[in-house]
Amino acid sequence: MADLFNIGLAGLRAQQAALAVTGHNITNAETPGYSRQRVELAPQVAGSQGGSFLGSGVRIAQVARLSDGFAVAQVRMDTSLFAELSTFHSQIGQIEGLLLNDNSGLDEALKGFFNAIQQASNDPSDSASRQMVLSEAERLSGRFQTLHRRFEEQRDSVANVVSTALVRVNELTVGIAELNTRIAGLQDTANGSGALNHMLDQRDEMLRELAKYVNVKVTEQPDGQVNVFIGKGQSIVLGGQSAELQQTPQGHVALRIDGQREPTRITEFLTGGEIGGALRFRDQVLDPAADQLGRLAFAVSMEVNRLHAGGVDQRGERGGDVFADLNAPELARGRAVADENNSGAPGVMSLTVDDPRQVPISDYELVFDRSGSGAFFIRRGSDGAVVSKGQLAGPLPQQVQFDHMTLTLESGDFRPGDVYHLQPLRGAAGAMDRVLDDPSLLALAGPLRTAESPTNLGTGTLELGEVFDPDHPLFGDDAAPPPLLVRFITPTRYEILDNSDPADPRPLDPPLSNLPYTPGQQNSLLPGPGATVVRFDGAQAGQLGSVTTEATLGGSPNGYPGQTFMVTQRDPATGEVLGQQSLTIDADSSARTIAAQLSTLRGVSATAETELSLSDLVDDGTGDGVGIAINGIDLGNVGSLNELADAINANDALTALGIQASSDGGTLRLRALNGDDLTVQVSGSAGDGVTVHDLDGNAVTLSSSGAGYETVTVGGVVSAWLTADAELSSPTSALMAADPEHRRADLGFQLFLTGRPEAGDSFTVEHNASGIGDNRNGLRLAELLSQPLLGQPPRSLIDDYANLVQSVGVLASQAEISRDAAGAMLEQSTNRRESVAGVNLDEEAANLIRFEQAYNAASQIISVARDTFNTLLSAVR
Amino acid sequence: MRISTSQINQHAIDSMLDIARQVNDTRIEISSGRRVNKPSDDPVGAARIVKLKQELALRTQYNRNIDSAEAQLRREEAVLQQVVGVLHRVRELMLSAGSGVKSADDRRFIATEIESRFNELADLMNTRSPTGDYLFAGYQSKQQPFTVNGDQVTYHGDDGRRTVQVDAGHRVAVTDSGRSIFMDVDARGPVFNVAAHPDNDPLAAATITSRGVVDRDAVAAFHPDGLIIEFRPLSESATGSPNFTVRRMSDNRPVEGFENVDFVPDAAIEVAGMSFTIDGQPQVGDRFTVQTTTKQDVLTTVRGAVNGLLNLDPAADAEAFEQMMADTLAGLDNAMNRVLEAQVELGGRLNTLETTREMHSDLELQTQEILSDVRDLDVAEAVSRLAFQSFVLEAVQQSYVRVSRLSLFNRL
Repeated sequence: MADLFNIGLAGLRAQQAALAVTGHNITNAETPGYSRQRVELAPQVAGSQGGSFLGSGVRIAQVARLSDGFAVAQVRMDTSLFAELSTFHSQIGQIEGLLLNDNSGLDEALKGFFNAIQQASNDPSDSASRQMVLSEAERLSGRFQTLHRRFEEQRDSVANVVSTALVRVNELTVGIAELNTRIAGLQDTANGSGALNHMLDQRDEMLRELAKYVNVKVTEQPDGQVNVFIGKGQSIVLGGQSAELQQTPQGHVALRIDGQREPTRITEFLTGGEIGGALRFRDQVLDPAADQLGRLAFAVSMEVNRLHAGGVDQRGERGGDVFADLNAPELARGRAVADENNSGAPGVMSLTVDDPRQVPISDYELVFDRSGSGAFFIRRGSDGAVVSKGQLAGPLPQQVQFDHMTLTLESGDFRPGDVYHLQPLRGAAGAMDRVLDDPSLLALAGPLRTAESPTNLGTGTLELGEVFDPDHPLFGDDAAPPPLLVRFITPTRYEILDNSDPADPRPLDPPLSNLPYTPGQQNSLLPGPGATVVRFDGAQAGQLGSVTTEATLGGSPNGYPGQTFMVTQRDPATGEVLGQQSLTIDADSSARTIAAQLSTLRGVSATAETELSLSDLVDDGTGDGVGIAINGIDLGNVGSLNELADAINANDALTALGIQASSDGGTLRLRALNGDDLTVQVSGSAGDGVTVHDLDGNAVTLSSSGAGYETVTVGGVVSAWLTADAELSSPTSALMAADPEHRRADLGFQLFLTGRPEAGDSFTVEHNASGIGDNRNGLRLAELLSQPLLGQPPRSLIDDYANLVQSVGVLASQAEISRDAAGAMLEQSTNRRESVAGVNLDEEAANLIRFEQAYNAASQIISVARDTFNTLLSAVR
Repeated sequence: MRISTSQINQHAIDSMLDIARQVNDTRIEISSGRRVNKPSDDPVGAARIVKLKQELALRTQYNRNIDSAEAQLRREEAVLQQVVGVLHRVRELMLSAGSGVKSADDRRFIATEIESRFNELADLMNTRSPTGDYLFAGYQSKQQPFTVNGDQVTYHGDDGRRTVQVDAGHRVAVTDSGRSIFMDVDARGPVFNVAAHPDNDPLAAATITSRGVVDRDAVAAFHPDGLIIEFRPLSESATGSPNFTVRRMSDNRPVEGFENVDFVPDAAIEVAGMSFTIDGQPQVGDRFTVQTTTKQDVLTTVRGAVNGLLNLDPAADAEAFEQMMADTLAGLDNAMNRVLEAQVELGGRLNTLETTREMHSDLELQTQEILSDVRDLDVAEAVSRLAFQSFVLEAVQQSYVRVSRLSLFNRL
């Protein structure tokens, strides 16, 4: 009887508990992280009774927590991914809109600026349209600054996301470690299962929240504790211990482990979660975008300034800077940041961008070798390539060049292992500023103007080419070069002279004389950028030979030694040798032959010219004149130098050789434009004579003895014109020095001449003073917008910006798609977890009914037991 | 599969939020009229939009440049038309002066009228634009290009021609230098120009003046050489007085008979068929140049006609008068031809502008269409999309209400 009572009671207790757990489930239906519980019942087995075992009711085996560890881990992983992608997406969403917006995008301002230049070029003297150029320049630099500022704000926002997340992460790790300890304590005591369930839920929920901030790896220990790892296996919870994460001043995330002096930097290992998303946004979107914007700023300011300096303003002076110099020392010094872990005090170094068109978009690192030898290398962040290696040598400053930039180590204590972060382009957009403030200082005019002499007989037309080096010494400080005269000696030979005194044009230094011209096609009259000239001024060159007495008309050898010449071609940027050629010239060769042979070498075009002068024509007094022959051609007896000059110029054979004479009565200047040797022979009555001078000031008097020919020969002078990449040398010093002086030959600009000029035709090139109606430089500036300029293959400014818009757009749209996909995955895994652990109210309601019925049934057992007992009592009564 | 109650609610809320976001996106598209509002809407399209807008802005600017160029060329065209008119009138007057018997008075009247035409011509050649730029001064647009001092006509401009960008890589000249139109006019035979060297002592203010060609053949033979007249130290003169030497420009050779000639102010110096005078007090080292040329500017031609009509008597100086008439008529014809050439060239440039403008307009239209395709919204599609999305949202809301009412507890 008592058994039946007990069975009934046990049933009541069990169903009551079941009802209580159901109630608990119902009330926790919306509790985050709650796992539904179920009372698990088991039959109570009692001892045997009359040889058969009778059950003694029901008992509560345990209150089970319905949870699927795999599903929970899956939710955690998907939470990390989703949090990462949605943070990335929301961050990128804040900048992408700026780029395509008419009110903040760069393209509108770029167009505005360059169109304003075109408008001003239409009417260069109109001050209103000049003012417009300045306003547009202001607007353009304003746009750069605004975009830069927004990017900086975004960078702050990333740091904010990270630091806020880190605070919560630290709270969570402490909480998890605490729960670990308590769970381990409860695990053994059987009656603690309710409390344990609750703590397990709590810990799972904390781990899930942790995963929202950063991707974690969780491993469960046999005693119920969990260890939590981030990054590359760095533990943040180890049993009851937790480690603290912090953000360093330079924005790195570091892990502080007890007993370690320096926190370990783990930024680059962090993935997933809000922190991972924010950091990935910073590295993959924000920094490259800011760099690309910076490169655009560099390109605009440097190219505009460069072209502007090639023009002259309304005051006739050279154009100044339109935009602030982005390589100014204070800006250049800010581009190198000492790593906070460096052992030496931060050094001072400046980083200047030499050619923004070629600079890759990347960060760099300057790393000093740990060996302590002073060796260092520079590593490019984008691909990890080492772009330069160097060695600290001697006193600072020391310069290192890499990737079209120059790093100057100015001062500092550079210790082994020190690292400097170089960000060449990052801040450039923010420093963009218009500095030109006077519309009249806008250099829309070209620096030079050309004019054709009105007396020209030929059809040559001269055109000014590009001014490629406005800093050429010829231009001086105020961009006012001396007037130049282009004069044709013959239809195929010309010279360039300093025309400061139009009545007496002088040769330039080095002289540009006797240069070849090809009629009927476009000729570049001046040496190209970086061209040099070597003048052969060694022994005998251009000098008088010894006087001999010859029996016949004819020449004598010029006495030039033979020599071997070598031309080395180098890459102008790197100095790397690209090729080498050599040539040996025989002794006694004429300058003409030497020049022709040298011209067969790559990078060389040689010219030759022979010149001498005659004076003091002495007739012995008989009045029959002096017999003179030039290069074996007898010119008869002449009475004066004027007569001789006319005879030479009238002689077809000599003219065909390019031999010209001009006499002012006292001196006769004789030139062989092809560089043939010039031989002068004197005959006639004894005492007749003439004095021959060479260019070096040597003179010899040829005085006829009355028989034979007094003969002297002068050789020509060779000038070798070398392109920028070529270098001339010789193993020996002879006609040319072994290591001759290479003089700069270009004039910083180019001239083009077409047509067929005649001998004596001339053209002038002069400073374009008060060229107020000139707009050539303006047109050149305006063309900058559509010129291929940046990167490889080159893109125009607008195209480069379009590229920025596109790459940010692609990342943003990818981020949106991936975020949606991650959202769907998270939903899936949440569904899966919920299908096991979630509370369904209908199910619980059914359970309520079920357990109520069971309860009622159990109470019926007690009622039956009571009835049975009463029946028994009444039978006894 | 079990579905938890909170899941049912969450799903319903999520899908409502999602559809509400879509409705909002569509609403933004409709209100901006654009399909691409931020780069991620269509990254490739966004980059094309940037480029297409640049293309459009450039075309617009080119057309603006063409407008400005056209205005400048039309102005020049009008001036040149007037110049031709003046030259025609001068030619008529000259012909009438040369025909039949005219009295000295008649010739003086004609000379007076030509004189006023001369001034008109000089004014036309110094025409300024509304912004105050001289049309025919080359780059020296703030410098009056032509000045007349006595018989001396000087051009102060340069050879610069301003161009305007009318298309990528295509520029059209919008000015012509006064030198090319009015100065470089062929004369009937070689003539010469005289000039004082700029380095001459400015205080002495010695001047050189042309007296004209005295021997046409000698000048033709001497051309294209020139002369340099240099004042030599007093010691070189036999009399110890100011003296000069004349040299050939080409080789500095002294001209025979003109070495250390004693200087007589304002006396005619005749070398190689050219006559000129030097006046004032030239200092030792002062230089003057005489340059032969086959060109004569149109003002000098007209001025020569005025002087000829006033000073020459067709009866007494028959040969000189004939020569003057022939020189003037040839000079006028050549000048008119030169202006005509300039006008023809100008017309060609105006044609270029017109065709380029049409091309820009066509391309602008095309670009506009492409831009619209890339950027703009198909409104009909968007509105029906909005209607559909609103419908879905309503359906989700209704089904949520319906489902949330389903609970076993309601039956307990």
